[in-house]
Amino acid sequence: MMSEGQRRAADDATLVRAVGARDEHALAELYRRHVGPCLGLARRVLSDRTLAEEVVQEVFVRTWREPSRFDPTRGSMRAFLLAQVHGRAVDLLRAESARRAREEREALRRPSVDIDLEREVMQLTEAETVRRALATLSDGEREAIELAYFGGHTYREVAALLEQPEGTVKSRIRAGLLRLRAALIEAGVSE
Amino acid sequence: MTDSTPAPDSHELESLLGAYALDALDSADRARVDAYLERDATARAEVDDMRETAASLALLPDTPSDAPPELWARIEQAIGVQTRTVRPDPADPIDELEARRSRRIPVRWSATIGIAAAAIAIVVLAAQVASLHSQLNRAKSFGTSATAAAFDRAAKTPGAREVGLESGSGATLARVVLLPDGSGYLRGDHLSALSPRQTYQLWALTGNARTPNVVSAGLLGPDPSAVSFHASGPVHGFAVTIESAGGVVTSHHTPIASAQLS
Repeated sequence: MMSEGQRRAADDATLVRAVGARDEHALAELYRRHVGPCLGLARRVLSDRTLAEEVVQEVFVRTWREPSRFDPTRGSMRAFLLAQVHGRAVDLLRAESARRAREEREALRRPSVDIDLEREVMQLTEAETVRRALATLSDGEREAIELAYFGGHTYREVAALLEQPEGTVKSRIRAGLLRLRAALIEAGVSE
Repeated sequence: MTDSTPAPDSHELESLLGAYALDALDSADRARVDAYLERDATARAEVDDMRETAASLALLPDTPSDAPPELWARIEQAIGVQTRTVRPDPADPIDELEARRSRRIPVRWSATIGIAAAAIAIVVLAAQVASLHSQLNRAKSFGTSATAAAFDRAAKTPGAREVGLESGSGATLARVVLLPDGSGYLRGDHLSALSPRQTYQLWALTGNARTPNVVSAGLLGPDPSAVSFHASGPVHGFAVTIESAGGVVTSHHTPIASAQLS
């Protein structure tokens, strides 16, 4: 089992391997690093704190159960966790009751998990970079991506909301993501 | 592995990859793309890249990111259960989430009492508002040993009803004993300590089970071990929320734990 210092210094892939060896502290470290964006995304999609926490809980519990599902050759741990959180949040949102509830709302030593100020500052810095990258997209691309990602809408629903042809929205989402990726790579946020 | 000859519909499927990466496909389209990805490594790589990009969106500053301390506690409790329980064929998490939600005593107000959930106002009748402060004052902390004794004594009293208040993950965070005269005792040994600016608040569900009145039964403080309280009328359930210190007359928070009395 790794020491606390080793855990803090370890990369995500190493921590995931430690989780596979049933090191609960390694899971706590992954949680410390990634729970903020995960919970933030779930809350933003679901507009429901309790549901969002349940989704995040499920994702981390599943990581504990099946750490081998993370393949470091296919992307970062953060993207892996956020993709799971987003997928589950959207599935829940698309249940009619959840969507209705959201619309109503919108009308109206144990392993310790410390606040990681350095990481939060880093995320804020990255956030600013992401915002600048988003600004490089056309309004149509940005709108379609935000409605799909944060709104939890299918692209067909986005097309209806924007009164645009489905094919146009589909293309804008893909082109926008590719352009966003290029901008993030240029800014050094992505690889 | 990439097929040397693209399938006839590959161009159309490629055009769906962005929406797929954002979970913006309906189930039929998603199944088609899933099958396409199975046979096309290039498409898989594009989806991986797009998901990495989408993950960056979650860092935008208007996405709140403060995790409450009890969330990790619940995860810890959940994986503690996992390590003691052999589950050779784990259910899909979403299915499990739904199944658990349906079988447990619901934590969300909506699931419990059939009205809109998170942001709904807990209904407190005017007369009950007037007596709130006296009710709040009825929740009194005991010393640890006295608490254990009082709780245990109450649990053995004829007619006492005891129930565990469960979190969303099914963990029992607190136990309540209610006596026929409305006297109650709560042990919150598994409630995580809050900041001094917060308090747990206990709510009693009274009246009709389908459209109950939700009445404050007392403030439990930020780190309750045990309290006594009094609940008037026919109580059929309890819930605990986290509020600002001083408590509230009307809660807009979803309960962190709840239970229905049998």
